[in-house]
Amino acid sequence: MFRIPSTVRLLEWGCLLVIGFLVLYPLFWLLLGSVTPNPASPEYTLDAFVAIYNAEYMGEVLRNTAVMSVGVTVLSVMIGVPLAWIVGRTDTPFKDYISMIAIIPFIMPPIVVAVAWSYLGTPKVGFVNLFWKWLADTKEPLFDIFTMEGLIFVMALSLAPYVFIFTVTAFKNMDPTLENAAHISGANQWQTTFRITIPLAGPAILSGALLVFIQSLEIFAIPATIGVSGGIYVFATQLWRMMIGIPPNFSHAAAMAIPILIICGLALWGQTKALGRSAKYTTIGGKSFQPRLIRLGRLKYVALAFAGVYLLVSAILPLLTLIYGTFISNRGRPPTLEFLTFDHLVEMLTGDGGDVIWRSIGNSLFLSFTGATIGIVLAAIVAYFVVRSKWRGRATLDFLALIPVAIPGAVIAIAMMWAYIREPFNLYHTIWIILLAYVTRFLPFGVKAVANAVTQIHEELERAAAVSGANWFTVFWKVLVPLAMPGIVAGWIILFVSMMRELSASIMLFSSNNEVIGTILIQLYDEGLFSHVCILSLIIVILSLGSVALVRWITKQKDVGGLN
Amino acid sequence: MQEVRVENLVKRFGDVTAVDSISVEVPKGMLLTLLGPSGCGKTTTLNMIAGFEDPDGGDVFVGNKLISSAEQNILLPAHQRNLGMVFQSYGLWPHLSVRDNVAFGLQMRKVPKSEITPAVERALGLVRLEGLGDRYPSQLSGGQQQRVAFARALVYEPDVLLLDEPLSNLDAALREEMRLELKELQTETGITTIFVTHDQVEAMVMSDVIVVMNHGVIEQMGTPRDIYQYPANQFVAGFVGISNFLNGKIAGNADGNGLTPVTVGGETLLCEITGRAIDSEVALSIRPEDWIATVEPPADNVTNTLKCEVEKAVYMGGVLEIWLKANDQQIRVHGHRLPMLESGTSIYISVDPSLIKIVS
Repeated sequence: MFRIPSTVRLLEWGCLLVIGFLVLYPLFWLLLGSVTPNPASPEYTLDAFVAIYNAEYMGEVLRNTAVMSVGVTVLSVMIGVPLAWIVGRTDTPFKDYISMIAIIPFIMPPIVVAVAWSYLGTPKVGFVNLFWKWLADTKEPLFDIFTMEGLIFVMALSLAPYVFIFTVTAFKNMDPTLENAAHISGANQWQTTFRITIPLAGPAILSGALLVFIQSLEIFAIPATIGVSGGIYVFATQLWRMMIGIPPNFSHAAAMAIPILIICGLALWGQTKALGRSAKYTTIGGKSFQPRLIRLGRLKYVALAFAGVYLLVSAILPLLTLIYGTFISNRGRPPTLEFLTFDHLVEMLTGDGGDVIWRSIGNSLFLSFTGATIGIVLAAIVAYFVVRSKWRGRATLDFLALIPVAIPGAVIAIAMMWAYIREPFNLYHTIWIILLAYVTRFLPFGVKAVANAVTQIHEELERAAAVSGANWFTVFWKVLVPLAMPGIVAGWIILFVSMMRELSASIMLFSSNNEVIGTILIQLYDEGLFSHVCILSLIIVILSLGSVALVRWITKQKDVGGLN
Repeated sequence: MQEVRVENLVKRFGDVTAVDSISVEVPKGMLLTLLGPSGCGKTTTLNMIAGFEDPDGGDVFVGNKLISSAEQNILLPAHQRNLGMVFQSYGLWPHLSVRDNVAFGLQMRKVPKSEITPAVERALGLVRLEGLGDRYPSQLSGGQQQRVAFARALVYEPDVLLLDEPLSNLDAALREEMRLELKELQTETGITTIFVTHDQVEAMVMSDVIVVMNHGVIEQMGTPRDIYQYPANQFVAGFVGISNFLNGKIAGNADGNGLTPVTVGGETLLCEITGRAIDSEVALSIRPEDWIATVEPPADNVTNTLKCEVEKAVYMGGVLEIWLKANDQQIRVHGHRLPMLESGTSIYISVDPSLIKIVS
């Protein structure tokens, strides 16, 4: 052990104060805001709660939200668990490709899936319905995407990968002895699967499901496109309606945000518990050999088809739609060379609306670059203290840095508005409030990325440096930061991309001149500019794809760096 | 309860032959141990008997039933073999209570509920865990988990019990206790058992028959006493217990007592050896505890006495382990009731001819 200079303790306190302020200050004002008629008022009243409780729309919004969230969670489990089982436990071919499901949410953000599916599933001219009408020779569309079922379907497409990721990890880390013990006790393949394998993955499935539940309350893009087009309002879109109403009803929004916050908080608490239990169930003990994969026989084609259909509807069809919209001269034309055009691209970027689009891209780039950089520096310090410090405050720090996961973007936005609209900040309607919202929202992801990297660094490396005479700061800069660099860079990229496509908070906080890509995309969608929407979505997808490739490349380099 | 017959079992992993034509017979009610260093093929053999690895050749019979035959393409899946198994990491299902863990095998056999409850209680009683049925595995100590694993494997009265290094995760004291308990349990239930371990003491204490394996083949098969006292070759002598290996040459013919002189690095030792030509080379193995070490020279009529110089001596509690040099040969000796010896001291060691093993 080496003596920690007191400046380090100061740094720990400073870090705790900064994070505490960033997270708790807006929440404090959110609470206060819910009992204040408007940001300038000195009175306290419960009017806002009474008003939204009695509001006409409330019953419907509550019902819609409940049906949607539960429906999305159930459907995501029904998609995610079988997919995880196929990849983790069976001899289905092309499993490496099926595994790519795990990166779909990263490549295809909700907003992209939402706009693509609203073009695919419109009853009259949606591509899927057109195809169906041609195939079945009928005038009746197959389905209408602008319904509750459509909303749940598209949401689940977007969120099922979370269930998949948690469950497949549990399946892969399971001690094969547990299954062998069942076999030798007389259980056949299916009895083992249903009585041992799946129950053991239960906590992991639950933790994925709860994350989906939180996300379903948080995602704005899908309810704002598919939901609103169908006249279906849920929490997120209702909050938005309050904020952009004339006049905006800040106190009602704050009052409504509080129950969501509590529900999400409880769900996150449950998720953390479930994750802890999952780790207990699936830690491999002792030496083991690889589990035998279940030979599905002909059933493997069913499994392959299931995975194929999911990949088709969640990624391939939406992507094709975006490409079609970008390069085909008119909606409804067959996708042949004859109708290939670059006019949309040229027009969008140089035409009348071009200025705003360029400005939004510029704003998004500025916000993402600055936000990711500030965020990752904060995250790195937090992650270091959380993983390595023996300081008592580290648990508090860990908890504080996790809180934003449970705060839907819209709620963060409302809290930010209440907190920073006043002296000494006066940030409302500036780009800085968006920056603050981004940094706060995505801090947990940065902390996670760096913490993973720091955990993998043997503490002996630091101790060896300390024993050789390096003081704490030298150890930090010369040993830890270089070794954790791949994690730090990967974390930066994750933050950057998340911020590039952020919508839930931006839509509440943007103002003229401070538009970002997401808000412009929604605006273009509302104006019905099909090709523009496709182009901008495609830009987001390409950016995301590039980042995934970059992160993968960097994390691979890590092995070369002698980390393991 | 059934006997087990393994005939010419072969397993290859790529170019490596992990198990090279093993044949073993385990009579009803016996405990047979597969003993060997890691990578010797003992666990692979067990896994082929259990049905977790597909053999590349050979047959496995339980009683008269052929459960696995590479040549006839018979491969009964593990769940149809009616075997019980205890795993190294126990493999208790963490999501099930102790009672449910034990009941699982009976449920799979469609035993009526009314019979399961008393059977589970009996099995828990057998391993002295009465009253712990409602606990979960994570609430039990390592030794208790171990016992649950045994109860789970025995409750449905399998034909054969397979044990895959079940004691290696326990601490030393508990391991010693469990060895004896396990052996008692096995004798009590009279179940045919195949036990895999790399721990020779465990094998000695528990086995009726030991099969020493190395590089996928059987080096020696016999009772614990046979294996220890009459190791068939240098590997067995070295792996089971500690041995001094001395290379020598037959120096003459046997005397009237049947003792043949062998020269070992200038000294001559009398050995019970027959049928070797004069001048042929032999390898001798002598256990450290078989030497008698004294500071004073022993009486003249003690055979096989050597005068040696102490290289180093380590007190091990009750026993003084001494490394000696006699001419060019290094010899390890366990001395009793000796003072601490400085290096360079001269002492005398002797060994009874009957305790000298010829290993090649």
